[in-house]
Amino acid sequence: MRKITRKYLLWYLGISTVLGISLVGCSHTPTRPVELDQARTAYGEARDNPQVASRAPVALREAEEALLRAEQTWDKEKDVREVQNLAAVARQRTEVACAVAEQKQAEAELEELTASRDRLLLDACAREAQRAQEQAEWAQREADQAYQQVRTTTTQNAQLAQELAYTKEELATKEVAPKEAAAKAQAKRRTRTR
Amino acid sequence: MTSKKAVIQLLLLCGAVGLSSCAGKPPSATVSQVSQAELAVQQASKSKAPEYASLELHMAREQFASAQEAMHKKDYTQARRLAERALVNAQLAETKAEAEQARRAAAELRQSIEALRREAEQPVAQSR
Repeated sequence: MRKITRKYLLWYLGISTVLGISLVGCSHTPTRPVELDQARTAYGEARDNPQVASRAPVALREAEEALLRAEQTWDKEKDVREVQNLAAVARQRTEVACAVAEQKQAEAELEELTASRDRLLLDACAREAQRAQEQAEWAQREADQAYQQVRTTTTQNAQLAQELAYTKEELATKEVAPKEAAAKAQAKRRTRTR
Repeated sequence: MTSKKAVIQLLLLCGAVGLSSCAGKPPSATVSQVSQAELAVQQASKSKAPEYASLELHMAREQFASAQEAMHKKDYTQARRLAERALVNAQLAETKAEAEQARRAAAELRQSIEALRREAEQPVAQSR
């Protein structure tokens, strides 16, 4: 009796272990690839980055689609290698979105810099023009002054010449008068002596 | 050089396609994926990627080569996966190179603006 129960017990144990193992084997599912979670994290970071979200919306949507494809494939097929590949593609698509955002940012910066360079060049031109005008004005003033000087000198010269002429005339009359007087006096003396 | 290589690659691809059509057709989706990857790699090679994103371009080329090898071995699943990876890597290389190009242009412009500003700060002494 005791022997029989022990025998049954052994049988029972053996069968249950085999059953258990086979059940575990059936229900054993492949573990979710780490790449899938990594891709999800990378996508989340990119989506939360306002630069990427605003500058690369199309590339970001493509990354999201790739991630969804990987997730759906995992849910449906549990094909580890396929999902690993799809997750890698999703991650690369996320990287593309980040690169597009960087590119757009650099291009925007380039545009701003171009505008400020043009402004600087324009300012330099204006400054140059103003300087030239100032120089021209200065030269004009100099010329005016010189002309004025010449004019005053010529009028002065004319005046001087006139004055000279007057003086000469005056001198001439002064010289003539005493001669005439002397001549008259002589004439008187002659008449008296006769 | 590269065009010759491309022609050879194309011929190999055609050969692979032709051979496999005799003995078990490759899925047309795989064929189109591989040729798309090839186009993307070619386009990236023509861009600034060899200069500014050589690592990504190198990876794309290797993955494309492996995809072709898988096609030869009639491992179409592997070929499709590798082609997909090569395509995205080629696009990544191109985008990264474009970003780098824009960044460099901006840096250059910034320098020339600095020079202009410096010039503007000390003007009168030279001109008169």
